[in-house]
Amino acid sequence: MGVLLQPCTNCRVRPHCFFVDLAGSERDQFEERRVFNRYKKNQVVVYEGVEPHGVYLLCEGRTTVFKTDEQGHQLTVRLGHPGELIGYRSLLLSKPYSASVASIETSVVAFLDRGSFFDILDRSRPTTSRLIRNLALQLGQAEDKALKMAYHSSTRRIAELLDGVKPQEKTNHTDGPILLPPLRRQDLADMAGLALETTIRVLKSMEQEGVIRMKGRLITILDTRRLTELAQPLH
Amino acid sequence: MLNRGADPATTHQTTREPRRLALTLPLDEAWTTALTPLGTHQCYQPGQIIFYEGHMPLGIYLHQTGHITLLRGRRPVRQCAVPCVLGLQLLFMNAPYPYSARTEDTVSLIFVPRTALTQFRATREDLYHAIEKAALGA
Repeated sequence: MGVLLQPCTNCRVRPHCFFVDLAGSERDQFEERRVFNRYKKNQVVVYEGVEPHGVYLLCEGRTTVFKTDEQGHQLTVRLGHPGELIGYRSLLLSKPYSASVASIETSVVAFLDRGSFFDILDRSRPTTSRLIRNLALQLGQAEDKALKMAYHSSTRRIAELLDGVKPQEKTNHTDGPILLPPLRRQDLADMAGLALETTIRVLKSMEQEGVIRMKGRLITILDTRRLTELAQPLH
Repeated sequence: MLNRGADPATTHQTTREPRRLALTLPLDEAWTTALTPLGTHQCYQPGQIIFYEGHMPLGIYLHQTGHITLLRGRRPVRQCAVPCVLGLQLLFMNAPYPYSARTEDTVSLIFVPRTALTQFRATREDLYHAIEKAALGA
């Protein structure tokens, strides 16, 4: 799909971009070697199990990161946001992609091949530092997730999920922010590590309490303060 | 000469006439020997999409085993002969894929990125020009 984009210097997601620290010849090299493509909704950017041949930078849109079991059941791991780098852990490990990534709305993705990515890491120390920070962050998130799975209540897990949605995914509405893109209950359940039935029960309970309102897949946050309290209860 | 990627600031990447360009070329043994070390071996499962219609080529694919069907929209157009190279002419012409490529069974291929081909020119100029001539003459 044809892509008409502004240069990186004018990009509105630049502050969140993995390559924001590139300057001078490194930036020129990046801009020369990247290849943009537009993915329609539900098109797959990378497949779990395929050997990595580069990295993908999500420039616009949203992606879902999911795993598939032997029976074909899909488990949503998380959502991808503009500025995020896709596939770098597998590339660093030289192991097949550990999850698939698909667009959940029209998305623009820049591809950078393996050699160019490692060239940039060799030449740009700030980018390498950012990569290390990202890996450390992901390790911390994985540890937190293990803790949540073990000790947090189902209500708290759902509240954390709704409360922790990045600002780009909320849009201001007259009644309050709506979570965008609309997610299936199953996706919410997967991301919270809960059964679908439990997730639906918790959401209904939050709706009865006036914290959220649900209309189909759309979730409007009516009481942000209460949602935060549910996500971070006082001990 | 191998074109660089379209400048996103100024270029709409689907300005070419993709329908007239050849997506596949027979794979020459000398090319395989020379290009394989530059690439990444990849294995796709049945039903997966290697690339989408309208996308700009990220590199070329040396198709080694398995069956690939080319699709226009959802309509199958034809199957790729094995062995072949996918996307070579499009890469040289800086044109988007006219078809999507879907695997019918387990497909083994080698992906050679655009930048690796550019670097290949410096070391094997004779073969690079032969490949370029074959691609542009297709």
